[in-house]
Amino acid sequence: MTLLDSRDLALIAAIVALGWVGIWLLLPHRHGGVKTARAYRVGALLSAIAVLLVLPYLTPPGDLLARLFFYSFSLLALLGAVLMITARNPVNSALWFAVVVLSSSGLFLLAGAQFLAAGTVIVYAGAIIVTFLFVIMLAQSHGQAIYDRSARRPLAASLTGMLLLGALISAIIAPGATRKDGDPAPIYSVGAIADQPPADGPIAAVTAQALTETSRLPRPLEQGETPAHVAGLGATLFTDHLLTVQVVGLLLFVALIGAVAIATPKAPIRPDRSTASSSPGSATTNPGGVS
Amino acid sequence: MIPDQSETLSRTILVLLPEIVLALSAAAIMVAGPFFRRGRSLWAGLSAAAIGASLLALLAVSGSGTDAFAYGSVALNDALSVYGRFAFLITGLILLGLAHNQVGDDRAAEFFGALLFVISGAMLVCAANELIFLFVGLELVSIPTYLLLYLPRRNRTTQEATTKYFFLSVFSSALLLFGFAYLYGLTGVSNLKALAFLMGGGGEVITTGTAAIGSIAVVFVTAGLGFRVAAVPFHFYAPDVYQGAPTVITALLAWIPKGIGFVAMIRVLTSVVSVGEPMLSERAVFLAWLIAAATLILGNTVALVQTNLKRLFAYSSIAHAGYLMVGVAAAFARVEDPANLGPYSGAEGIVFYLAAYALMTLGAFGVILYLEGSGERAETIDDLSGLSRTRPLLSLAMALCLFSLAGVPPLAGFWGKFFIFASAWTAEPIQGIPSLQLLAVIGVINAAIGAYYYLRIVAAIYYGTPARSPAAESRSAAGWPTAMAVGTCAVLSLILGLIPGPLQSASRRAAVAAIGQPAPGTSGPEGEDETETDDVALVRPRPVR
Repeated sequence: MTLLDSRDLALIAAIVALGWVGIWLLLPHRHGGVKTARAYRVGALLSAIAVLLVLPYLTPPGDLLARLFFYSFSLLALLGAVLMITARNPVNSALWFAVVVLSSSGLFLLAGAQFLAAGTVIVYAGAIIVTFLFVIMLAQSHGQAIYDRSARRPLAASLTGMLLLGALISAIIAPGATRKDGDPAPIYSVGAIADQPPADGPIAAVTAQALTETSRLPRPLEQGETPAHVAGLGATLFTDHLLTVQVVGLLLFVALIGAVAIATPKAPIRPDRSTASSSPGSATTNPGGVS
Repeated sequence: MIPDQSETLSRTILVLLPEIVLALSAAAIMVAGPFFRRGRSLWAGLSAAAIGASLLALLAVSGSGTDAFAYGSVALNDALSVYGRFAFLITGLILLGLAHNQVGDDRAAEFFGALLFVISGAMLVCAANELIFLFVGLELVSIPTYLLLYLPRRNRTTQEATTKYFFLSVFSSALLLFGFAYLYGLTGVSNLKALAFLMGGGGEVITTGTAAIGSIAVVFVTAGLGFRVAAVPFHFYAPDVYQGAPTVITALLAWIPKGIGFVAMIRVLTSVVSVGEPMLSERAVFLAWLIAAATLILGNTVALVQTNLKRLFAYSSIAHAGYLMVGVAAAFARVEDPANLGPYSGAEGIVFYLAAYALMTLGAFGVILYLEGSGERAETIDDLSGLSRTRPLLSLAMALCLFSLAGVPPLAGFWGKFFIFASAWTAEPIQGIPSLQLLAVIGVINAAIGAYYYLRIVAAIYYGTPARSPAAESRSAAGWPTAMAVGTCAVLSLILGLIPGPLQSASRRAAVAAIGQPAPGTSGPEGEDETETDDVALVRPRPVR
């Protein structure tokens, strides 16, 4: 019961092995020491070969220009990811993470998901990485600590990560591995089923109920017209997922109250007047906490 | 006929009335907290009233069926949903009784509000029929739990426990979302009933090739939920967090995340995978087999050497996750016909076991809380020795809960183990993987090992000598709600053990409803075979919006 041919398996094994050694060489030393420049060079070479071996599994879209952008964004994202986990300075890590996020936004844009691309840039590159940087700057007022510069269990961690990558690649390419040209796509598009009239069969009926008009992708329009992504997203959020949006509102409310309740350094002395009047010292020693 | 979107939405809101009542009360309590400077008893009383109102709402809506729009709505009101929500409300009352005096007056409103949010999140998980809604329900349990962990006590051990739990919980949510993304990608629908229907749709949508992608989803969703239920290899946080957290929150952590984790596994994994591709279901059985065996063996053997009570209960809760994973393994096994489950189904065993587990665990933690509340030490097993001389009733309650945890007949815990092992024993053997009967045998052996450390506590309580002379005047009462909660747990464990029939038929109905597939487009009986197309001819075209 094997789904992959031996060539694929060998390629994936090579990616795992090369990536493991390469990332391990690139990662900071276990005790925060400095490795030799040769170790970094060999590590970079091996990781680069592993990254190049991944590329054949990517399916680029459309014409030459889109292809060009696709490969540059993909390479940039992979490169940024490797550099993010191997950087010895947390600030550099955060900045490389920004590179990863920006290049994945580019990939989203190529896939036609404009809102997701914009949202990723705004939320991740705009808000979260800036917060990371603030936290790192504030935490590093006394220089880097040893745990910032050292990698924890680098050998085991890089092996686990690479094994996971290998398993994911093989599982993802498995559906298409035995496919000949002209076969239907391995992943079934239920959007096509949902367009059939429900009387065509139970599957069509169920799909039509599960995929309401608002939750489908906008139909391909005439040449030059762009489908209204944000409008479509808003429509599906506030019709199909209205209740989910409400529960997310509750989540934000709890998070807000929780942040206030946890962050206030001293509990405001509140309840009975008797304890408040019997211990005036607490009010003077803690002026900020008096409610 | 198919209800249109606005009708589906309004009926779903009606079905979710209990959660809405609970969540609105929780929000009101949290907002009112800073303005009304009252003691904690007011907020505890208001929370109890809110849970009572939610129970009434649940009883009022429990009759309204949701089969007609099961493929289009985010929440269901089937037997599993009613069963789970009822169980979480009752255990919520018990938890409230245990927690009523565990927080300072100054934080009481936030504390009880967060507790209500946890319960309403757990209820949302029981009712959820959609991937995103389910995830949001799980988060509505997690985020208030961080607050609950930190609010009652602010010292270094609590801080450490909160931090550990926070990071691992966030990490597990990320794993879960990754798995959900693949599960969604398999078909492109996020509705769970529709997903199960398409998985079983005659090999048209799911092929052997896509089953490989399905296995990514199964692995990651199991990993994400495995953190919540503390199954090996995702158990490592449990002992530290259980020991460092305030006792009442330890009780909450031992029950609520485990309960919702397994309900979510029934909703997302077993009901979807077991009706689908045989190869995917075989792999899932194997995965659950490995996790169950590892969890059982590790939890029980490490619990043997524990002397700290909270650590012991942490490992015991890991071991119970193992018994429940045996049920998951049995529930993953392929079901040919969703309308016709075998005599013992894994999901049935899981929901029965969960109810029994909730009572016995909360009861055991309640006894520890009661002792702490009356100023006695209750940290190690030795602290409990000779307890029967000073507190005969409390000792009896503890003994009942411990016997139930050990699976001694005729208590509720015995029947839970019995149904789970029976479902594993009667499951069809699968080529290429170790048989589920072997897993049942491993489970029985582990139940015997587990009995040893529970009975050790009972022996200490009844035959041990008190470490110090009981100073009657130094003891204070721990409050009647705690005593009532402990009493309820012990008595219910006994009653459900003596008369398991009603609970068993309720869990049976829940298991059937979880896997059942309503006929598309009609409001006919559940579990219509999807290959019958006669009903579909009656389906009217979908209303065009």
